[in-house]
Amino acid sequence: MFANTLTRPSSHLKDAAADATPKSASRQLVPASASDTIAPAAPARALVSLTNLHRTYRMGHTRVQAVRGVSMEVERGELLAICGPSGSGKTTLLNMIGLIDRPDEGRVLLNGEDVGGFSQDKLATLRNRSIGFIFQSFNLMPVLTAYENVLLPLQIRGRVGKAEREKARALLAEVGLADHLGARPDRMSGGQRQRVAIARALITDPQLVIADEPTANLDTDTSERVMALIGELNRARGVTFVFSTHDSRVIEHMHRCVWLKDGRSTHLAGEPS
Amino acid sequence: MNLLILALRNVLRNRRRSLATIAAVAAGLAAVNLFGGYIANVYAGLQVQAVAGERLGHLTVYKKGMLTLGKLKPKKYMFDGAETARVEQALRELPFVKLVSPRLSISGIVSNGKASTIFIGEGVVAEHAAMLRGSLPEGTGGRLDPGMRYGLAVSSELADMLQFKKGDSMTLMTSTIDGQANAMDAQIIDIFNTGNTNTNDKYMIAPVAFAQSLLDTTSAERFVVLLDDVNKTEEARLQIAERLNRAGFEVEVKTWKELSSFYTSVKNLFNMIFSFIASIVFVVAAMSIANTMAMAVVERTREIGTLRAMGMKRRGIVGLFVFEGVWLAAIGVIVGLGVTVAAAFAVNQAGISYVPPNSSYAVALLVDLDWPRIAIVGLIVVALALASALLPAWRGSRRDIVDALAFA
Repeated sequence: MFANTLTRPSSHLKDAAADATPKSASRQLVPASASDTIAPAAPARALVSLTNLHRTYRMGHTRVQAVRGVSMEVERGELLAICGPSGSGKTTLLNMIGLIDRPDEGRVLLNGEDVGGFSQDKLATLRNRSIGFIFQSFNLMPVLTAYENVLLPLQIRGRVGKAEREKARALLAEVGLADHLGARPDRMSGGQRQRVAIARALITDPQLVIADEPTANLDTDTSERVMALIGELNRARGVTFVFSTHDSRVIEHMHRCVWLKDGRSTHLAGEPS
Repeated sequence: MNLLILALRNVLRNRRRSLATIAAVAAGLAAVNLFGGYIANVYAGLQVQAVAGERLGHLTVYKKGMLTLGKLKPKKYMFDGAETARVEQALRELPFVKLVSPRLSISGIVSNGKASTIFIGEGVVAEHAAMLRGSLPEGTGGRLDPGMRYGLAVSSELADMLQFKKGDSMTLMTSTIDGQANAMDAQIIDIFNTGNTNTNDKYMIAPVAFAQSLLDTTSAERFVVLLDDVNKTEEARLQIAERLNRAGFEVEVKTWKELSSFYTSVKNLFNMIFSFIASIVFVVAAMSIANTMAMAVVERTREIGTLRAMGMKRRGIVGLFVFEGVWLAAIGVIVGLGVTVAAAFAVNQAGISYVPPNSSYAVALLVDLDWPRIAIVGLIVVALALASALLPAWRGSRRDIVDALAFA
């Protein structure tokens, strides 16, 4: 269907998300709306569809073509890695999937809805409701406790009641930090911070979690534990995770991997160039 | 936890920088408030000096033309005996009028029998003089005795010049209203300080009946009106003019501020100095907050990116940083208020006194807590903080999310 789309799960990667993925759902494209209200679109087959994405940015006087004509789909409930060497364009592609960057060309569909014409405010609302983020450097608010950091996306949404507070506690317990509710990030280890970031990404019950090299700042053991946790959350909640990584320990946990080189997708996981 | 609390925590995060900003705002605010409190005390003192010390009351009623043509032909513009009674009657009917007091200016030569010098003064109803002096300090304002038709109060430097003391007699020589020479003896019953170096060597007050005898007239030159509320002066001026018009008089009604040129000029000068100082303080406070917020926005660029990625809208980012600026200003205002109260107490307890320009006696240096002015200054600082934080906050909010997240 798409020239550069790689949707076939690699045979040696895990496919634990298969049960959580509504593969039979019909695909429906919904045109971009100028309205700021986000009407739920009819379930599309793919959670995210990228069509012929191009993204160029400037570095000083140089124009860098970070992404060149990438097309792909992200299935519901899968653990997908965007892999490749530094400078291959994986973070740029991830940013466009996470709706924090716009392509120069091409289309991004979330739940079958083209988000290209969305206003900044509408995109912000959509991100808050549908997408969680896990950053390489955790990006926790240093002035907030672990518990407050987890609640932050709901604070941004403007709706924090007793149920939401309970949910934040439960999520922190789920990631093994029940005893660290009141801890500030500077009092926590890297692994603990990343687990807080995972809980924060999940507090809004997002359909999609974007993780940009989430283990890059973690040691091997911690990295392994964090990935195991993400795998469990994926299985238990059916949340779709999209990673950018070049860490083979992360790739091992993925259902599928899209390889990028010089901004182009090149081959399936397990078939390095 | 809402945006306000998050903003407060961010303010407390970089304590040294926030403290420097708060200290700058507080010090500036305290300086403005203390100076404002000082001039408020000066204005109050000058008001008492004008209304009671110079016996201007709150309003003075002249026949129309007295202040211009009446200087050459005073008789034509004076209220004769019958008119005086009618004016007094009309004004006393107004509920807000506390006192109506006829006045007559006098001038001439005063002699102790051996030496003489010029004098100026006015005739006042003795009982009215007592009412007008209010809370004037002892030794100022001058006192008359209602039972002594020839008892006068003379200014202290005039008394010194002619070696007068209480109980002494003096001779006053003047021209009558018709230009005839006249002389009368009088007794000195009080020696007082006028409070003004320009008049303290030549001023005296006399019972109005004595002044009328001296000028050989039964007329009054003007009426001084005391109101029950000084704040109603302007409103009362209109009503008095209207009332007297209806009674058949064409009058001019002047406020004490219009007649006390010293009060007006001092107030204008102090207001200008205050505006100058306040402007400098406002600029320093605004720049300080703008600088702090600009640094905060730059340092927390990645946080901005994170918040935006999580769905915070641009106006949310602007709100967060504006709240921080407002917190800085609000804490600065509160600290500045504390400093103001403490410093004002210290100054008022220190017993400092000084001789102001044109004053013939020392006055205490006191600082009033001028709450309306303090509130306005505080609100201006908070509003400026809001405005100062707005630009860096807006810039931060416009930053591309990807760039912000990649900010090192």
